[in-house]
Amino acid sequence: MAEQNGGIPPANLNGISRPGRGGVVVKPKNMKGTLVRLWNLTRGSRRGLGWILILSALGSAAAILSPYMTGRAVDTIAGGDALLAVLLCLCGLYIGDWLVKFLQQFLMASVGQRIIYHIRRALFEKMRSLPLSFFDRRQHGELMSRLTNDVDNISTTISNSLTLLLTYGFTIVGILVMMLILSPVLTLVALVGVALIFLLTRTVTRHTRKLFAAQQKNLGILNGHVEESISGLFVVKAFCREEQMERQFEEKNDALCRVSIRALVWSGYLMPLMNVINNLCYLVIAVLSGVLYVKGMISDIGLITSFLLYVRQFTRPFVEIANIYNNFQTAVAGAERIFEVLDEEPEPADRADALALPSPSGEIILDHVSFGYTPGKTVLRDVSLSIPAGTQVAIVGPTGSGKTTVINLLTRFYDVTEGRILLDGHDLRDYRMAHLRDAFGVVLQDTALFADTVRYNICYGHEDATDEQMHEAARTAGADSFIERLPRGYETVLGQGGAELSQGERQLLTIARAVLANAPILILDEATSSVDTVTEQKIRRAMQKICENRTSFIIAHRLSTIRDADLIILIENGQIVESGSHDTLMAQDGIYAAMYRTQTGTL
Amino acid sequence: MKLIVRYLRRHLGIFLISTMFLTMEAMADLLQPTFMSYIVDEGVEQADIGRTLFYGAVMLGIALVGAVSAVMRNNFASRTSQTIGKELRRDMYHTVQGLSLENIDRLQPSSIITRITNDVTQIQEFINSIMRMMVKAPITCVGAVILIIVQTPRQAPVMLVILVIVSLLILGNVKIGYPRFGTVQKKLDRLNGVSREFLSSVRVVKAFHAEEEESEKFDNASRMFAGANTSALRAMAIFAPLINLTVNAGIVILLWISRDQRSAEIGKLMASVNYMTQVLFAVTMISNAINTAVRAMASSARIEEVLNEKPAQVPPALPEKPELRGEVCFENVTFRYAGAGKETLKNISFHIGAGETVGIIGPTGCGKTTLVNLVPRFYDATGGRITIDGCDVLQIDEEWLRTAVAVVPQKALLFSGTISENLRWGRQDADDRTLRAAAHAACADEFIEKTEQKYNTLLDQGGVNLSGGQKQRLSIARALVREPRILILDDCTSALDAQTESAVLGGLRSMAYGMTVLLISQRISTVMKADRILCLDNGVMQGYGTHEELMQNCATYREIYESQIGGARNG
Repeated sequence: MAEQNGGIPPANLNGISRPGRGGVVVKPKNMKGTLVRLWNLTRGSRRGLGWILILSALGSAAAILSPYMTGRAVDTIAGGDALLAVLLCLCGLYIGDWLVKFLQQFLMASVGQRIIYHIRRALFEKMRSLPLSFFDRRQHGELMSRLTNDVDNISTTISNSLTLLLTYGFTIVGILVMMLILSPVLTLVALVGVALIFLLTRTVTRHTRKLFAAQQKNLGILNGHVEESISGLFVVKAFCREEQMERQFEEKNDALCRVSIRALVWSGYLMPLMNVINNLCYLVIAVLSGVLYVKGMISDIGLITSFLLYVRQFTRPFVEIANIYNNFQTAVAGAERIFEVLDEEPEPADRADALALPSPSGEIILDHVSFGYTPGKTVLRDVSLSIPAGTQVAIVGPTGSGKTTVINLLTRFYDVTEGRILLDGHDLRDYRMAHLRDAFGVVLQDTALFADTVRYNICYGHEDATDEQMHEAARTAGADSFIERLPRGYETVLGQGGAELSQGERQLLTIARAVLANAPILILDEATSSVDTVTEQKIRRAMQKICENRTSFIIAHRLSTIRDADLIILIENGQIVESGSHDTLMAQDGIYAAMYRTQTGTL
Repeated sequence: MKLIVRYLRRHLGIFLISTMFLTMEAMADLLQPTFMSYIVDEGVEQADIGRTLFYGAVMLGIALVGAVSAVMRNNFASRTSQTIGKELRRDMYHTVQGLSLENIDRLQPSSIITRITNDVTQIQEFINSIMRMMVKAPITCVGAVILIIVQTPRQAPVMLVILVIVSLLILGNVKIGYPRFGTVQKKLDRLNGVSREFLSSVRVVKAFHAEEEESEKFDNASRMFAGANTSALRAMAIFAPLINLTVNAGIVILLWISRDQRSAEIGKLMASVNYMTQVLFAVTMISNAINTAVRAMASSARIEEVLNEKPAQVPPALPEKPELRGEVCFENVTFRYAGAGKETLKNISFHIGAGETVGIIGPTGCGKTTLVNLVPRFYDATGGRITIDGCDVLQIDEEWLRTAVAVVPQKALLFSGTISENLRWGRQDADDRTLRAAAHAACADEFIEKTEQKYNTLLDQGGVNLSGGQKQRLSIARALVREPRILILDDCTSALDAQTESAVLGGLRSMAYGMTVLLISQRISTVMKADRILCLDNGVMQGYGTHEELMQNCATYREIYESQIGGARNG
C-alpha cells in the first residue's frame, strides 16, 4: 500500500521504514548515561550538530504550515480572492523547505562522518593501548566488527534517528496545534484514529517480534551449518557424508523458510489495516465536518480542506516515531558495546620516575615468580631462575606447560601475579615500557606479516633503517636469496599475511625483522616449528650467528634444535623440573633424557 | 537476471496471482483520492450528508478491497520470495556437495559460504521488492497520470513536465551516486584490512612498539572512508530534496492553473495534489528498486557461477566395486594443480603391498599431502595411473573407494554434535564398543572420560571447545571407527607432545593391524619404523625403501636424518 499522506509531501522520503519489520530490539542497559557519553564524544562537531538540530526543527515547518496554506489557497480559489499572494507564500514555504532539507542533509554528510571518524579513532587509540590479555580473551572477528560496522551503524542510526525524531516530534505537535485551532471537535476524532492505530501496531508487532527473532535464530543455525560443512568439505567427502549433510541442510533450510514466511505474512497485515483505519477516520471527519458545515458551525470550506490534509499527515509520524525509537534503542545498546572497550583498563602507564634502559647487558633474574591468566588458575608456580648476561636459554616442556607464558612475562605482555623479574638488577616494572620492549627482539609462534612491501616488513618498527642495514639483516637471517628471487625484490608487495610465501620464508622474514631490531635480548618462540628440517638448519645457523653475545630464549618442540643451548630449562605444570646443559641433563637421565630419546628414536 | 527469471518461472502461477492482487491494490489506492474528492465536492460542499455517506461507504469499501488485496499480495509474495530463496540455497548446496575439491579450491570455501548465505538473501530481498515496488510503482504512476488527465485534462502538460524532470533527477542521482558508493565500498575493504591486520598481529605491534605506525595507518584508512562517505551522502543531499521541490512546485502550478475553476472543482484539485504525491512516491520506489536490482544483479552472477560449476572429476561410466585388500600401486604418476605453473608431483612410481606401513617424509611443500590425496580420488592424477588391487581408482565407485580408505587430515576438523556422533562419521552403524576401542587406540578415551557427558559431550562448531591435540586424537579415532583397508595419516600428530604421540602411534599399530597405512610425518623418528619409507623432495621421489636402504642410497633422506638425529649420535 502506498503511504497516503494525502496532500503535501514535505516528509522525508529517504527514510521510508517498514513498520513491523525490524523485529529484534536490543534494549540499552543505561540509556541516559550512554547518551551523555555519546554527546561528550561529539566535541568539535557541536556547532554543526546544533545547526542540524535547528534545521530539523525548521524542517517540520513545511509539514505543519503547508496544509493550512493549501486550504487558504482553496478558499481563495473558491472565493476568487487574490490567489497570487497565497501561492507565493506557499512557494516560499516549499523553497524554504527545500533549502532546509538540502542544508540539513549536506551538513549531516560531513558532521556525521566527522563524528564517526572521531569515535572510531578514539576506539582504535584505546585498543592499541590495551594489554594483550584483552585481545587474547576476545575473538578478533568480533572486535573488528566493533571497529567497522558497529561504529558506522551506531553513529548513522543515532544521528539519523535523532533528526527524524525531532522533525516528527515537531510535526506532531505543530499539526496538533493547527488542528486544534481549526476545530477541536474534529481533532478529537483524529486522535481516536491515532489511538486505534497505536493499538493495532502494538498487537501486530508483539506477534511479529517473536517471529522475527525466531527467523534470526533459524538463519543463524542454517548459516552455521553451511559454514562448517563447506569449510570442512574435505572431511565430508572423505567420509562420504554428502547425503547426510544435504539432508540436515534441507531440514534447516525448510525450517527457516517456514518461519520467514510466517513472519513476513504477519507483518504484512499492519500496513493495510492501518490504511483502513486511516480511511475510516477520514470518512468520519468528512461526514462530521459536512454536518458541522451545514449547521453553520464551520464557516468555510477551506478549513475542511486543510483539516482533511492534516488528518492524512497526522498518523504517519506516530508510526514512524515508534519505529525509529526501536532503532534508536538498538543503536544505543550498540554504543554501549563500544564504551565497554573504551572503559577497559589500558596497559599501566610508565611511572613518573620510570628508568631509562639505554643498553641493557641482559642479566635476568626470575625471583619466585607466579602467574595465572585468570585468578585462581596458576600457570607458573614459584619459578626462580638466574640467567647471566649472554646466556643462551632453551625452554622445553609439554604443550600447555607454561613455556610461552615465560616469554609473555619477560616482555611484559602480562605482569607477574607474584614475585618479580629483574633485568640488570631492576624490576621490569620500573623501566619505561617503550625502552623495555626495545630491549627484546622477538620472533613469535605465528609469523605476523603485513600486506605491504618486503622492506616494510623487515623494517617494521624501525622505519628509519638504511638499505644497508636492511640487506645486512636479510643476509644474516638467510632470507636474502629468496627475497632477491621475488619479482620486485625488496619492493615486492606481499599479500595478506604473506600468503604467497612458504611458511619457512615467512619465518625467515620475521627473523630478519628481529635481526634488524638489533635488540640485546632475543626471544624465539617455536620459530622453527612448522618448517622442514633442512630449512630449519638454515634458520638455526642464522640464529646461532645473531645469538652470539646476547641473552637469548628459545622455545622449541624439537629437542634436536636446542641441543647446543647453554642452559636448558624443562617446565612441567608451571614449574621448573630440570635445568642444565644438554650433556648434564642427559647424564641425569631424567625426564629430559627420556623425552630426547623418544623424539630422536635413539635408545 | 536470467537466473531470477528461471526461478520465478517455477512459481509463475503464484507470481501471476500476486501480480493480480497487486494490481487491485494499486487500483484501490488510486481510486481513493477520487472518491475523497467526491466526498468534498458533492457531499460536504453541497451540505449533502447522504451523498457524503454514500461516497464514504464506497471509499471505505474500496479501502477494504485494497487492504485484502494487499494482505493477499504480501502473503503470496512472501511465499514466493522465501521459497525461491530456499530453492536457491538448496540447489547451491547440492551443487557444491557434488563438486570436486579442485572446484572448491578455485571458488574458495569462504566465498561459497557468503554466496549461499548473503547473496541468496539479496535475491530474496529483490524478489520481494519486485512484487512490492517494481510492478506496483509503474501501475500507480501510469494510473495516477491517467486519472489526472481524465479528471482535469488541462493539468496534463504540467504533470508530464514534472514527471520528466523528476525522472531526470533520479537518473542523475543514479549516475552520480553509484560510483561514489562503489568508492565507499573499496575504502571500507581497506579499513577492514587494516583492522584485521592490526588485530592478528597485535603481539608483534607491541613487541616492536609500533603502535604509532599502526595508528597512523588506521587513521588514514578511516579518514579516507569518512571522506568517501561524505562525498556519497552529499550527492544524495543534492538530489533527494530537489525531487521533493519539483513535485511541490508542481502542486503550486496546479493551484495556479485552477485559479478560475469554481468551487465545484476543489475536491478534484485535492485529488490531483494527492495523485502527484502518489506519483512521487512511486518514482522514489522505482529509484530504490533500481538500487536493489543492481545489488541483486551482482549477487545473481555470483550464485550462477556456483550453480554452473561443473565437477572437475567425472565419475566412471561403469563403476566397479572390486574386493579391496589394500595393495596400492602408483604408476608414473604426475600431478599439477589446476592453474598452477609447475607440477607438484613428477613421475612417481612405487608399490605398497596389502597390510604394509609406508612412511612418507620430505620438506614442507614437497607434495606429500598431494600424493596421498590422489589415493581416495580427492584429486585425479594428471598423468600416469594409480591402482588399488590392480584396479584403476578412476574406475572404482567413488563411495566404495572412500569407504575403503580413511583419512586423518592434517587439520583436525570436527563437526557440531556429540563426540559419538562425530566418531560415527567413520561408520554410521558402529556400536559403542567399536567407538570405545577406537578412542582408546587414539589415546582419546582418557580425556573423553574426564568430560562430564563422556561420549555425549557436545562439541561446538568445529570443536572449538577442544585443544588442538584433543581434536587430532578424535580425528584419528574417527578414521579408525571406519575400519578401512587403507589408512592415511597426514602428519596428524603435530599438536601432540612426544610421549602422547608415541602412545598414539602404538595404539594405531595394534588397531590398524592388517591395514595398509600411509603415514606422513615431519619427524624422522615417526616414520623410521615403517616397513618402507618414501622420501619426497620438490615433487620428485628421492628414494623408496627401508630405513637402512635409504640411509645408504638416498642423500635427501640422510640429510633429513642428520639434521634431526645425526648430531645425537655424535654427542
